[in-house]
Amino acid sequence: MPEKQSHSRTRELFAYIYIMVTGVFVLAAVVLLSLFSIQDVELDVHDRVTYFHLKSSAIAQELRREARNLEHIFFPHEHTDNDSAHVLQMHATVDQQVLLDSIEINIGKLTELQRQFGGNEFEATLGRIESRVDQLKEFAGRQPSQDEADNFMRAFEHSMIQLARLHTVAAEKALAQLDHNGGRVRPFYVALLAFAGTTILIVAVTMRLVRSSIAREDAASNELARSREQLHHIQKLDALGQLVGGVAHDFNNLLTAILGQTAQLLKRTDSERSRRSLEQIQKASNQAADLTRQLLAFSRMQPVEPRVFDVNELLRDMQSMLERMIGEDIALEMQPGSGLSSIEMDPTQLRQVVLNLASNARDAMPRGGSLKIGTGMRALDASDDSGLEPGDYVEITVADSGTGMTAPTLERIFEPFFTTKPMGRGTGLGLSTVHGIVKAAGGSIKASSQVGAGSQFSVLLPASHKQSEALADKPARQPSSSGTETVLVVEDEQLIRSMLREGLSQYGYNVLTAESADEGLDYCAGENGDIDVLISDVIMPKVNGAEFLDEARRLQPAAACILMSGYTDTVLQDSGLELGDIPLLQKPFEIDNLVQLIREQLDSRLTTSGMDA
Amino acid sequence: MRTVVARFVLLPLALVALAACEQAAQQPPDTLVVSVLPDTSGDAPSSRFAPLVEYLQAATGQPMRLVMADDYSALLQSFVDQDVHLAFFGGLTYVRAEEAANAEPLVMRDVDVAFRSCYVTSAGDRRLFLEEFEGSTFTFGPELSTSGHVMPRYFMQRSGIAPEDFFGAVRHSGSHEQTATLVATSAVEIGVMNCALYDEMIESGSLAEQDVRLLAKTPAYVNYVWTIQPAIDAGLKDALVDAFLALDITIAEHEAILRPLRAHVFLPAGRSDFDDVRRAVLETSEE
Repeated sequence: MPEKQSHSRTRELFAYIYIMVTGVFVLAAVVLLSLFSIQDVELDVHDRVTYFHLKSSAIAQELRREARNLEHIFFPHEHTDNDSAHVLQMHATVDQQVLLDSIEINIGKLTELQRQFGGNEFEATLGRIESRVDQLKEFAGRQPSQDEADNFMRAFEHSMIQLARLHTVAAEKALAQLDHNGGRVRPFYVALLAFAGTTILIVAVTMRLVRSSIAREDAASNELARSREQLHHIQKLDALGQLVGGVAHDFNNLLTAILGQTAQLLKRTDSERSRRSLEQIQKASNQAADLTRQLLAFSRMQPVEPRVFDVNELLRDMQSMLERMIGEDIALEMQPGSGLSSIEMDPTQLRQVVLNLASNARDAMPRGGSLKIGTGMRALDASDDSGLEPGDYVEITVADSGTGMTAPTLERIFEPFFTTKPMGRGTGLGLSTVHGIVKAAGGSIKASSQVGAGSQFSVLLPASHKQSEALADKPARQPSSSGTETVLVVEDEQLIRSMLREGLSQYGYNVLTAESADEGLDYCAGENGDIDVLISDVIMPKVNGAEFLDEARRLQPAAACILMSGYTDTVLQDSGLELGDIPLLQKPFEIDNLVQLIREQLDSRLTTSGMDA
Repeated sequence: MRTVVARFVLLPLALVALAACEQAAQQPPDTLVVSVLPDTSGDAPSSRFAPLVEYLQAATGQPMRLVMADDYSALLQSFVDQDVHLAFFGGLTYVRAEEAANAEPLVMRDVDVAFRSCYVTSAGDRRLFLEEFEGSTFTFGPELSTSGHVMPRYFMQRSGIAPEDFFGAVRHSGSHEQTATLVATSAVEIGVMNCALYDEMIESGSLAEQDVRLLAKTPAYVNYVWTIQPAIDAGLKDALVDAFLALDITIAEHEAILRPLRAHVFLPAGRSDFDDVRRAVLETSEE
């Protein structure tokens, strides 16, 4: 909902900005057009003032000057002598024509200017002037009276003054109009332009701010969402880890009991069929123990137990499990290489690597396909770009015929929390864990893929020259460890208690069992004689195993001590338990291993006491 | 959203539209009210101006009514109040009307282009130069008269004479005729008046040549002007100007109109014609 609101707010903001920008552009266009039209008006006025009014005015002044000559040439009244008057008249006729021509030329210029610029501007005045010229032409043919001549001269001059003044006044008005516009309208347009410019600037800056703010907000909210998602993952994994840790502990107890009881049955039975069945139970239990270790690895509680082993053997063991996991639609093809060196790492971790890659391959082939797992040897020299030390490496390739990955996805697949799987399907930890495991083992992992053409993972692990151990059935210690000593077992879990009682009794030991530390201490302080071996679970209600042994050893100082736990010693140490030099037996264990340890502890006690002696 | 449209689009557009709007021309009034200055008390002003108004009415087809103003300030006030459309102002009153109501000059008489004021003294006074009248009694015409007060004071100031300091006593007579009478009767030793009126009074005999003497004339300046309300329709203004300009003393029927107005012809008038008067008003009012 808030997201929707913010979205509509952004839309509204953009709508406002759009309107502002449009408005500003319309304004700017109007202003510019107006300025251009004003410019035109100014040019027009300029032309009218310069070429029409002032020129017309000048011509009128010129005509007025010419009119002064009229009096001498057309009206020479002062000369009364008839002869000289006649001579003068003859000269005058010639001059009159010249003067008339000159006046007519100037009148023509005025008319032309009038036609060019004004249409009928000052037409009346111009008309009066033309009628005066007609009158002058009429005077050229006769001698006008003094009054006629005087009146004509005055009227002609008046018309000329009028025309000249008409033009100067018109020019003045035109210029005044320009000043008027310049004084009021132009600053208005300038202010409007400035306003438009400022608005555009403000809008531009605002838009930039809004855009960057939105981008920042988006980035921040994406970042926040990612952080939340990661936190959620971590919390989930943390909770799951705690749960798995707890379950694994209890599960290990159960497996200890199952393995113990199976071992005893194996010893008792003579039937070959029963033996095979029991061995299957034993194998399944061992696999269950491996599974528990994987769970512990997931919850980061797994102890790393490097071993030297053959990769092909491990893959062979995994085949049936892999087939079950990938389903019937996907064909599994194992391509074990020959002449493979052993490698040294925790086989459980390598199983985890293979399982993870196979599970990703399965998810990439929802409609079936083929999964090829192969092995081979690779010799790397210094020129190799894998970042690995030169030397021999065992290569494991896992190739599928699935959907493949895009280049950007391929770049990020080993990042923690990166997943392409739908929400709830992937943790985004798988490949990063794989990467971590391979790196920790001194190897490298590479992926190549093409969309539609499947993916291929190549894991390189350093070859070991040590002799490889058998993975499936660890050689059981020989039951040459029987004894008659008294063993006290303190274990809150009833199943294990009874399994140990039975198992150890079979080896000849005198077994005492206690449900709690208090009960155990009672035995230690009791009249039943010396206790030779104290075996205690670590995690128990009220008093833990270490504390119990401290107390018990004060009562039975000669007793050998052994601790057993479903947790690893690291986890126990992390939780603040001081185990000292007491050996810790990791559950689940087989009874033979315990008996072996008891024997070792008893024998070393004897040796130590012997030496002391 | 609508508010934003109004604020950012309509308002500036409205401003543009306002700016684009030119002052709307007013329709011609039913009757154009013409008013004139009572610059003479001799003959009735209405009889002097009546032929002109009749002529203008006939020439433009615009009905007109002639109204006589009581005095300068009353005429100015009625023009500013727009009770009068066309007025015959002296230079000073025109400048005031221009300041107050953007009055527009139309035409002026030929004599108004080079108007002068005359310093007159009694015929018996033997002094020849204005400078000799230091400490004498002096009279201007009406205070708002261009030729009887503003321009003579302006020219005196420009030649270094501050009337109130220079003369023994300075007064204002009610009219040009009054000034002539005061001087003729030696009630004041020297006075200044409208030259055109002086000539006319001498010519008509209303002022006896043996009673007064023309001492000096001021430099020429532009004086009276026919002035119109700026809002009057431009067509009517042009028609009026054309009608005025068509009047010619050499045409017999026009003589009857022009003669009483002491004009031979009318000339177009512009605002810049009154630059001297404006300067004079400014400088003399600074005192």
